[in-house]
Amino acid sequence: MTRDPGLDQLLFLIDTAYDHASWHGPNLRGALRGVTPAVASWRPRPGRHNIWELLVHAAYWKYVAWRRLTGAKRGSFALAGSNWLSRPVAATARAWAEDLALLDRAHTTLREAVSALAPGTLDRPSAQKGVSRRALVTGVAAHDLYHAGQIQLLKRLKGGG
Amino acid sequence: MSVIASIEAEYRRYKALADAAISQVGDEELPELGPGGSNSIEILVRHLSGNLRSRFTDFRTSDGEKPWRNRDDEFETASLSRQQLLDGWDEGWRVLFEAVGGLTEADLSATVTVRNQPMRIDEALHRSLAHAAYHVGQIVYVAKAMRSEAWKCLSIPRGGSQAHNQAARPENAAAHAAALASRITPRS
Repeated sequence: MTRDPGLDQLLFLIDTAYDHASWHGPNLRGALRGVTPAVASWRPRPGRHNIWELLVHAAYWKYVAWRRLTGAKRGSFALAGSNWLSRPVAATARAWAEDLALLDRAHTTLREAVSALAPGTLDRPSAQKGVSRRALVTGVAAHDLYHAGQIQLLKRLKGGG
Repeated sequence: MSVIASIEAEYRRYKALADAAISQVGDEELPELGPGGSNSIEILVRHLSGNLRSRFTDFRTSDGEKPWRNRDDEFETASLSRQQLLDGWDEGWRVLFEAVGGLTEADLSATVTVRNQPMRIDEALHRSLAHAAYHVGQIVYVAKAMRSEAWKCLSIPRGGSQAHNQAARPENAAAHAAALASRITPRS
């Protein structure tokens, strides 16, 4: 079977946005590197998201993209809740490592789903209304970087980056 | 949706996010430094628009880093009026959209250069979109910090996911950009 070059483009896009060497500066995983639970938990003011919540939010939307690519049913995210989940439950190194692992798994799972798409099907609709598979995955990459830029700001504000 | 259409739609989404954030900020706040002494909205706007104008002027035929671009100057406070700032901002995006609009899918494997580094056009577009999304995230963050409780949410608000999921409207980038544009209140 001929490999779809569009798949390689999309994998390049989501990988450089997440953890592969990127031209544009820190990607999402790079922005999280070296962040401690204390820094991740810190909020500039009450009610504002902290780095930890941005991490889980990014994991959640990778999961949603995976679900919309594969047609899996709702409700299978590893954590209870959706979109913005309050974090931390416990500001421990273990809890932080677990959520980093959650994000890594969400990326790997999404990546596997993209890799498994049949050649020539990227322009077919995803399970998201009005969104092709290609557009869905492109959007995930941009979303990672949107929040990577914010994590960099939060680190600077906290003095931990 | 083609490669070009999907990338253009994301560009429009992130421009709309930045537009909606900037519209919530007062004129006097635009040059204020961001959290922790980070770049002001004015600097982020000038940097991103300067980058786009340089990259996409004569996109197919000249290097993306133009000799006339003064990148360092983009990171200096310029004390521009809101209108001057937004004129430059819109010009950067106009140049981008004009270049992208002139591309076909067959062009994507052609080569352009950025700082003398050759790359395929699709790679150049992906890199540029990544750069734009990164800095728009920062523009939104700084604007949100300035507005605090008066901030008008640009995405799904906390606790609003269920209602969002049940809505019958399309959920693509173009629909998101249009929804954001409708929320902008022009500043006199």
